[in-house]
Amino acid sequence: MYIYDKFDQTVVRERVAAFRDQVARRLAGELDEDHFRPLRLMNGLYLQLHAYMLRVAIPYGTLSSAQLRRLAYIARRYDRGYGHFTTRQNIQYNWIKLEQAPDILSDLADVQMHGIQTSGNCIRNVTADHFSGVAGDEIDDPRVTSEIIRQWSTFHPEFSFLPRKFKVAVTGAAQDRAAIKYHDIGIQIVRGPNDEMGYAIYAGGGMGRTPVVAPLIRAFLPQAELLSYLEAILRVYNRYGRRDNIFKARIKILVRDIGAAEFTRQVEEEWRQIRETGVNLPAAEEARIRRFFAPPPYDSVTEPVAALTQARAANPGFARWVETNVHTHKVPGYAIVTISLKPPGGIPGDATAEQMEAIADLADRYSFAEIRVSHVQNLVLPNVKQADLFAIWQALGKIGFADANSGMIGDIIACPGLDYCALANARSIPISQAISERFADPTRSAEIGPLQIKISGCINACGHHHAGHIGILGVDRAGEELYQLTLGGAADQTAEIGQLIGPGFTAPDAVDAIERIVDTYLKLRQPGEEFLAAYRRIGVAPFKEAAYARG
Amino acid sequence: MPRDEIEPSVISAGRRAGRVAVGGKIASANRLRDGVVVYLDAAGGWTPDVDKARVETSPEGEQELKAALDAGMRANLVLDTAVIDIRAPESNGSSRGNAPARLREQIRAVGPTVRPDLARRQPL
Amino acid sequence: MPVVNVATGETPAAHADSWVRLAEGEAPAANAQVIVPFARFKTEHEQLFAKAGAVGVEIGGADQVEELVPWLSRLGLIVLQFGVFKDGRLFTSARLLRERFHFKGDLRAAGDFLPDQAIFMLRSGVSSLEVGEKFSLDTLARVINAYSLRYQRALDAQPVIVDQRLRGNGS
Repeated sequence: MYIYDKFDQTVVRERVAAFRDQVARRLAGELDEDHFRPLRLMNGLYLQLHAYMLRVAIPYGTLSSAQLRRLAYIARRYDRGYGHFTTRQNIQYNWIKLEQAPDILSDLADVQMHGIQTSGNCIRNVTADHFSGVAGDEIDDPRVTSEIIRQWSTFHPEFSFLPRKFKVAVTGAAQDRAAIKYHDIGIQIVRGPNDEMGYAIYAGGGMGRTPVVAPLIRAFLPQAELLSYLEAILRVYNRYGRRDNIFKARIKILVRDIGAAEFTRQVEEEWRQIRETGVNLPAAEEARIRRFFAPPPYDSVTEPVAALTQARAANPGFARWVETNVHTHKVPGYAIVTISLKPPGGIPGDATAEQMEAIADLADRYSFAEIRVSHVQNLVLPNVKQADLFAIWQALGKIGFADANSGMIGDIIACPGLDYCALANARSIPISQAISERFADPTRSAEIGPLQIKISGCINACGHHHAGHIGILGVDRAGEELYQLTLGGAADQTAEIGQLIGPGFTAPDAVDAIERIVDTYLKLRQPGEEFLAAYRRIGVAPFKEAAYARG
Repeated sequence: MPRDEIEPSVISAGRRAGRVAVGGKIASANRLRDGVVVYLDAAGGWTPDVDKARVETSPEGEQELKAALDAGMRANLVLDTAVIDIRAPESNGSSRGNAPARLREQIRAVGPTVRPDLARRQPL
Repeated sequence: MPVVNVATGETPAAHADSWVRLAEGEAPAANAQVIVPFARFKTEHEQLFAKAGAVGVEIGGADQVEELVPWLSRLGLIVLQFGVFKDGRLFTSARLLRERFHFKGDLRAAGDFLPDQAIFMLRSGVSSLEVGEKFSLDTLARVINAYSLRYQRALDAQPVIVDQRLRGNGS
């Protein structure tokens, strides 16, 4: 993974010093809140329901074990002993004191981490496929591209006061595990007509009040031209994005209002003027960054791995976990492990300091000291030997993270909701707990198969409910928490926005409705047909009818 | 957190504000230095304990709460200020203390409903 | 209002403003250095150039700097008026004026902005700031010198990380 050189380190250190100065000025009253707020947001510090919340950037979801241990230390020393992994591959702490924030950022800078641009109207953390570098279907490791974008976007003098936040995601494979079409810019690594490396560029996607699947802006952009093209997009957005209404200020509104064709024309016109002005990254620098993502020293292992075969045969619980949480690695004899942070009845994406440290130990021992954070709020050990899977599973069992539910009905995405978030209208975690408990039985979960439930506590859709196979939106009606259901959303390359099926339910009724929807699927599916495919074949009617049928 | 320690009522429907009788107003904010949720108390200070909040029931009293919140902001003590409703005593289900009318404010006064171990006080 | 010149490596110091904003309908005094809003400049530029000693234009976030191109070589000053400090369009305006249209005069930020934005302004091509009474020069000096490196390339004098790396100065 990328290691800072002295320049990267200087940037982060200088930022800490500047923020310390800003906090001191705020506490002394030299800065009022209106003027301080954008400055603290640009360091990831929000004010939430209970306290300040700090969002720490985990660039493209990649962490070293040393960094994960530091995140555990932060949770223990400055917070209440836990952190929350988010749908943008970051981590959040909920109980932060402003007066300690500079020290926290300093402690993070020690391990090459920061909260830079995790909030505010600027370019946010670039997210990427959590299987980057190890998936067999990958054309190129999206983390190289993501690191290039990270550096280019950090403290960009022209683009630090955009109309609104700006989110970028990168996939290196046709199978989109990064939900790129729901981002302001989505980047897919592709091969060009002469097999050269480049990008398909999507722009104007998003969630929120007005979810949009991003249109394709450019089918092929040569790899070396990435930064100038991104500058052109950002410049058009910065100039012409709306600033009169924060609910209409994202780039998706601009693209919709002027049309994708006209937007593309303006971007290409701007790009023509700047592509030779030195914005693009020199090839030598690209090569330097790329070297950090060279494969680790894999052993040569022949498959099948006997130890794995035997353990699966001997232990049904382990066998189930291998089915769901272990994924094919591009190197023979290796595997990718999803660590489910979704124990039934638990809080999705939360981990204690002790759990984080245990996972850091596992990474050291079994995964070349590297961990990934997925946008589904799980962790990943990307480079595990198949022979070690049983030991890992046992170790995960000891910390409560061995559930065989990756991608299954229990693998729920839930935003923090009204329990934590000042923007929320309803709680999302309790209903997530109730659903995961209802479907906790592993046999039943396996029978249902892959099914993605996503829950948002307000229309800002941080839980990505629009992209859920079953989406849940919490609303407040006259002081009562109600939950609207959407069906048929998809986050991958077949991206589709879920359809609202009708009026909202109370939380207990919503759980029952979901169970009826699931039972309907089980009744109507063809052999081997997964939920989303069945829904797309059958249509909404029987599911809607079942949802609203009362016993 | 073992599931059986979370009460089923946690996910029951929130109370309808329309059926809740409002018993007065209190001033709420977050403390600047540490972000802690605080309420204006009778002595003009800021307390994390909602039961110690100064309750006003007249329009003049509400203006005084607003003025105190503005003064607190100007003095760089608090931010994110709001005057909020509390329930009338007969409606708050408890014989003591101030129960905010809105679920959001109840959560602010107590803590996340899903982490009773972090609660600042008993549920309202 | 006092004006502060900003440049890489220099300590900012305030001086009195030699430019004057013309009131609506006010004619320029002969040989005066006058600033007019963009709308007025578009209709009266010839009279202004004829009468005044020097002409400056004040633009807002919505103004298109391309429209100033015919007169750029004759303008001594362009004022980027921040109605709201969050109006990032003016950073694009600054960069275009400097990098695409080669404006050589004084490019000045005015209005509601923070000292903390000054480093972004400097890197976008701004050469002076119009500051109010409460504006702290100490804070400005600290902020401008707080960041010694930048990732992005542009035409100003700030050290760029990728260039440092290419020269072999890294790690």
